[in-house]
Amino acid sequence: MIATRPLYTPLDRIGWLNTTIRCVLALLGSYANAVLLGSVIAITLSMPAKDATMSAIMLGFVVQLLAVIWVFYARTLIGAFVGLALPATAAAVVLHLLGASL
Amino acid sequence: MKFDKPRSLRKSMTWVHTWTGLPLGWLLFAIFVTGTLSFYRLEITQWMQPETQQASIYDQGQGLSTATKLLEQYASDAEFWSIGFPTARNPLYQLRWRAPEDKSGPENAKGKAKSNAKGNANGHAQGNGKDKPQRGSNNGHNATSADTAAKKTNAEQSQPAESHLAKGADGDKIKPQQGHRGMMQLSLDPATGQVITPRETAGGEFLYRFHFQLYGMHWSIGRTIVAIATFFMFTAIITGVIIHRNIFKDFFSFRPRKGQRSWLDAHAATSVIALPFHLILTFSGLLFLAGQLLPMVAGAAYNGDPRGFLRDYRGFGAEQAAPNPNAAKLVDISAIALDALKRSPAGIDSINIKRPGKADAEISVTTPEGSLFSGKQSLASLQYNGVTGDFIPATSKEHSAAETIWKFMLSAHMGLFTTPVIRALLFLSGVLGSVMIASGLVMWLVARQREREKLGYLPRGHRLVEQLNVAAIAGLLSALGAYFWFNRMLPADMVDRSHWEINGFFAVWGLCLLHAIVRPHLKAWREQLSLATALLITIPLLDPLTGGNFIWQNWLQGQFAIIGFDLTAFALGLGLLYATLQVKHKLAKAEVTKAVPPASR
Repeated sequence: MIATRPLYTPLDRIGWLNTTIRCVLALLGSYANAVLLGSVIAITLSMPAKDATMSAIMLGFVVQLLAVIWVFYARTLIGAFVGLALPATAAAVVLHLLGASL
Repeated sequence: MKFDKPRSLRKSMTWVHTWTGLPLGWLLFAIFVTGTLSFYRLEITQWMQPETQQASIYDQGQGLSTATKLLEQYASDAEFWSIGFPTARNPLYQLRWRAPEDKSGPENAKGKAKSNAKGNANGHAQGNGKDKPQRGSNNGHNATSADTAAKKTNAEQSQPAESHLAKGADGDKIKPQQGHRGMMQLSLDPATGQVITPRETAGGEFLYRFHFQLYGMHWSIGRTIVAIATFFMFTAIITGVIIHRNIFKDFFSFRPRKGQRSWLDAHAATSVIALPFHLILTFSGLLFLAGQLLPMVAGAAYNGDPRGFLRDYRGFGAEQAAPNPNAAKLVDISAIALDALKRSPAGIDSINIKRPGKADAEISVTTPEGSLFSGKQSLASLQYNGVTGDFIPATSKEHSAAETIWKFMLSAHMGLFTTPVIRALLFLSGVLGSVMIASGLVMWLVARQREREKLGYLPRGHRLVEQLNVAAIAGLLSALGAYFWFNRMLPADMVDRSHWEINGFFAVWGLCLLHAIVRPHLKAWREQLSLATALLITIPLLDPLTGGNFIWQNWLQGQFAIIGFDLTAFALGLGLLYATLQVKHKLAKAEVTKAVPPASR
């Protein structure tokens, strides 16, 4: 995810806007990732549903935390966004293919 | 902090640490303090009911036979009985029963939280035997709940047949008290079998419930707020570890009276010493509230129904046989107790009877022995047939790795299977955690001291943090002290007493917020810390003057839980006295040098 030439957008340059966008991304994006990735784990882990769900919930919180850290670590807003959007989209596609009902 | 410039991970994470810690730090402090006290909520409730302290302790003489007679007399139609045995944490017999019409009360909706609810799926009494320790933790001992007054019952109107049973502590009447979820309860002196009717109190139960669902709002809203705050805490802890440079050096270094450096040392030391505790307690807090925070994940493997997971988790998924309506005489409980004592040298925690007086009655004996990695269920280890009295060997349960981790987390959070020493360590870690949060909140201001000096005035945001810091820290501790004072000062037979204790608690806290808003910062600190000091340091005197005993009397009677309460309150008072003097010192210095901008004094 570390680009050699960071892709700065005009939004990056406005300090308060940059921070605000990251906060929104952190709040919503991390939660979306926790829910989507957690659900994929809960459905796909090959163990009894109870154990898979426990693993999924615990890992879901870890995913949420890592997502928050990523949003504020990423050099640019685009990087922060892509880092959240890629796993979330992938998980959503898997869930759709599995026909999961959340 | 600028996110548009290249910056180090450490710098970014410092920002995250600061801004996840501050906005919910005031709430987290309250959650940590009340949660820490919850490790001793039975002892707190016992202190708040001095009537129970008159009982003779550790004597298992008359109690059990009297308990059985009382249950047959008052709860013959109940679908569930529970006899809690006297323990070091609560020296009384606790009788509880649930009348049949109470089985589907609205309280059952609480089934969402993993730890403390029974499944609402099969609303009958099944599982009650298994989760007795749960019930104990929910009801506290003799705690009438925050939302139920002691109500008169049908049982009360029928005069007790046997005269020696009829002598309650308050005269001739035995008054079963109503606990949570329609459970009725009675307390017995273990030596004499006499019924003890303690005063109504919100007790340790109020503090316990506040720490995970707050108060005065729907439980699901309260739990969601707490869950979000817990996630902020989790983020703050992990980012705190990331930005922390010298974990070992800071462990051994404390530089007092060096301004910001000292605050940082205090913050780091209290964090690092109990770091595993902070991490496990915070993460398990998330797991408890996972139903609030990640319901979609909980339901993903159950066709989108999170309750499916809860049923599965509690082992309610199996087919239940239809209840047998035929009557049959219940086996002699004393014989069961004797047999259980032979099998469990550690003693008996409680005896729970499902469908007493029916042909399919079941008895389960919970013991204090259990496995740290198996959760509450492992406590309910001895099963008996309720009619024949035959012992039913338990089927051994294997746990998956996921379940082992999960149950370890939850057991640690609830302080299950702890010895007194481990419980004390958990409590001390909680105290450290509270100091960690408080010092972090203060540090936000201290770290911005220079910024304020440069500005030459006090920004509105800083003033808001000042006000909330005082009210959330010193104000909460004052309100806690006041809560115990209200408990002893309100008339013991007052109607709706537990409500007034809680009202008193919030009234004092609210007044402290007002006071923090109108008074200058340091003066507000000094005055509220003085109030909290005065209220807490005098607890060992308040106790004997309002129904309890002096410490040495308690010592002679073996009431160590009460001694512990008195001394802990006194020690907390001493700590607050030290803090008050520090603020006083600082105030005096500030008045001499005038180095601090006037507004922040």
